Amino acid sequence: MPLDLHQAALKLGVSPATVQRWARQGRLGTVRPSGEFLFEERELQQWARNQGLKVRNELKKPQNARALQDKPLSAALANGAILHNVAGHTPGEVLSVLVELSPVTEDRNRTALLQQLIEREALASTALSAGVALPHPRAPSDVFTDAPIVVIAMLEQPVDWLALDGELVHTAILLLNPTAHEHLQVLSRLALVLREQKLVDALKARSSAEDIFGIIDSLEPSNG
Amino acid sequence: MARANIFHTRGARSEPWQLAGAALLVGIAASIVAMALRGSVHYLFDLSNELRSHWWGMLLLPAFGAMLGVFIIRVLFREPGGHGVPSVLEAVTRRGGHMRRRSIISRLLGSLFNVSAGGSAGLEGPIVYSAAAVGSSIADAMRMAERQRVLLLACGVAGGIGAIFNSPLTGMIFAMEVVLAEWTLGALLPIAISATVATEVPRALSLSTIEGPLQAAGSYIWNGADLLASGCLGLLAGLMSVALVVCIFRAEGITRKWKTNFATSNLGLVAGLAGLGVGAIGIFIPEAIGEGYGTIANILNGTTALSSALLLLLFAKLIATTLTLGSNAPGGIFAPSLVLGAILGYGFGGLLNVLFPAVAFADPSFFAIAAMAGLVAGSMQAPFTGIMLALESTGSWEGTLPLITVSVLSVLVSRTFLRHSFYTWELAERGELMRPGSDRRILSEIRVAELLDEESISITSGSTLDDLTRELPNTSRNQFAVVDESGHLLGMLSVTSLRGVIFDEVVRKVTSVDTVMDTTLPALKGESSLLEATDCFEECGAWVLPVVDEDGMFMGTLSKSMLFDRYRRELIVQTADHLE
Repeated sequence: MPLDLHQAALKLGVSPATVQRWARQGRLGTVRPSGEFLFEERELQQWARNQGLKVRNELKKPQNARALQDKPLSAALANGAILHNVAGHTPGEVLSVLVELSPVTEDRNRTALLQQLIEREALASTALSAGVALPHPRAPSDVFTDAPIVVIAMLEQPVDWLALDGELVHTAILLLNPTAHEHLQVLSRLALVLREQKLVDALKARSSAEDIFGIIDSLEPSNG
Repeated sequence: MARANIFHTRGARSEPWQLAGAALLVGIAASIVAMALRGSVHYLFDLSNELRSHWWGMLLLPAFGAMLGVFIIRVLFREPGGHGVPSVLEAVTRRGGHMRRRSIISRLLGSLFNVSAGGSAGLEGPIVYSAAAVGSSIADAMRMAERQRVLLLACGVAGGIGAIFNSPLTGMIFAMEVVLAEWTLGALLPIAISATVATEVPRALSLSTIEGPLQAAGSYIWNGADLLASGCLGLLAGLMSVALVVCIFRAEGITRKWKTNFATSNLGLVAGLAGLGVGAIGIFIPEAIGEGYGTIANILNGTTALSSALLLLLFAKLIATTLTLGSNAPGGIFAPSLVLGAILGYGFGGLLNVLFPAVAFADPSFFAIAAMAGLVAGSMQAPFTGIMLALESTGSWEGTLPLITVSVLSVLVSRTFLRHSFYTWELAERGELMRPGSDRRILSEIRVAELLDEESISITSGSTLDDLTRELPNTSRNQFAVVDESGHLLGMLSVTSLRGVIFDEVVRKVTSVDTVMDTTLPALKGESSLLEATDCFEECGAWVLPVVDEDGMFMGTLSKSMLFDRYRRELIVQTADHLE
């Protein structure tokens, strides 16, 4: 089936006006008596190859299909969990319990994950202000998960997480992301919602999982 | 009013004279190379005539010669096989005219044994190769730049061809049409000098080879009917050249396959087997093997009988040439094209007289000359070379119109079927046929390292986004490289992608650059050409890519905008000669 101007332009990765100019110069295609341009797909491919141009066979897929999540944080939280009374006296103890309770699938290597989290803490504390810590592996990787996961763990007792402001940590939020891009997306939303006193208060007050999810969902702006 | 600048600067004034002097030297050397090879091939061929009188000698000699030739080139000189001219074109388009000094004799020796033993191939290819290497070496000795080296290489080619055919114009045209593929005044002058000198050297030494191999015929008288017939002959010659080129390429494909299947490290075995085939043909049709100028001479002076045996000879020559050149035995396509053309044209002329006895056509040998031009033109897709060769060799300037007709139609047919000529095919298939001023040529000549953004900023692994933010006011860039302590590239960071987190002071402090850097972007190598870089940009859709050296150390970044800016400047510089 012959292609029209727009289809040919799409294939060649140039604007329809450019294709039109090429056709007018007699470089490719045929012009109908009506003035309409026609391009045989096979000829177009051949022509492009002879010129050393690349032909696109389909539209470029968006770089990351999951990037179009309406609310990335809520989605990651839905993949993860909201836990109460997570035990431990030190960040290390908390992390080992947290990793055990995390809803990563059975076939993933939890020992390696725990080790990476501890290594990251050794590099620099992940404690934010106001008693919240954000443990995460140093490098995002699809070794541990195929989709972003956020686990909110409200601790049994406040833990000294070596926070810059010296406050004890009451809530640890575990971030697992397959790519840096997704990490950034979830992290930026998390930074946004944690700025709201309403959420921090709810975490401190050990509210129910439904309430906390509801607050976050209502605070997170929609991409749509 | 300022005085008009009508004179060149002093430097620009002396350059043409330097080139002219060098071209003179190159012409003499190229001529000696050509004469030495032609002379020794004739000597060895005559010497081995005794052997050829026995059937076993006839059968085995070409195989022996082909194997020896391949051995010399592949094992002794460690050079790629083939006919040589593609390697010369590669030197012109890809290596700034550089050829190794040993190339001066490698192909001469290889083809000497192959052709004098009976291989159906020409000496012009090897002579072009050697003469080009002579020009390149002289340019190197005089410490010339690439542009001048390419020119002197072409001078060598012009001299070599001029000397063997005793045809300076043919040499000039061949060098410009086939080797340089550009027609500039700056190139024409030294090439003309070289071709003239090279043609004169054998005359001055009064060698017996003064007469070109084709200079047998006198002048011819032709009329309108001959012109019409030339049109038909041009189409036939075109088809014949297509057949020749296709046969040789198909055979080369088979040779490559055999080489991998039998895992023979050199091609001598295949060339030897093919040589046996050539020998077998020689037993029955001796005129089909060897360089073939004897065959041409017999046709041009009319001693060859006009019979259907010519058709057999035509096929035998085609097959013998396919076997010799298709098995990568050293030798060229020039002479076989001429022989095939001579047979085709002679037979065509004879057939005309049989079909239309009432019409007074020109002598069949006239058509032989026209078809020779046609075959050279068709197989090389170089119409001027074909026309000039026939004109100069015969001295029959009255025959211009039929010769042009045959050559042009032959190239027309050849171009209908074949996208590239016999010489350019190999390079074009590898994507390395880059003519001067072409996009690929310009891109391939610029290295990525030349275009590095000196202002590009790298940040050490383990730093936080907070550290990065402190750098931001000092730079206008928004792409950063993340490197380890020793400077190896780990990933890239784009400020745009950090927009969501960079304004939160607390998050900034707990986020390491390692966590949010993009590790999916490909890194360019500093030594890569822009050709590879543009492909890379197109594939990944990025605007800025990191550049690393061979150890993976970060060198800087390359942006699309920089690329376009420099490309345009390069285009102006590189195409300046063409506009003069």
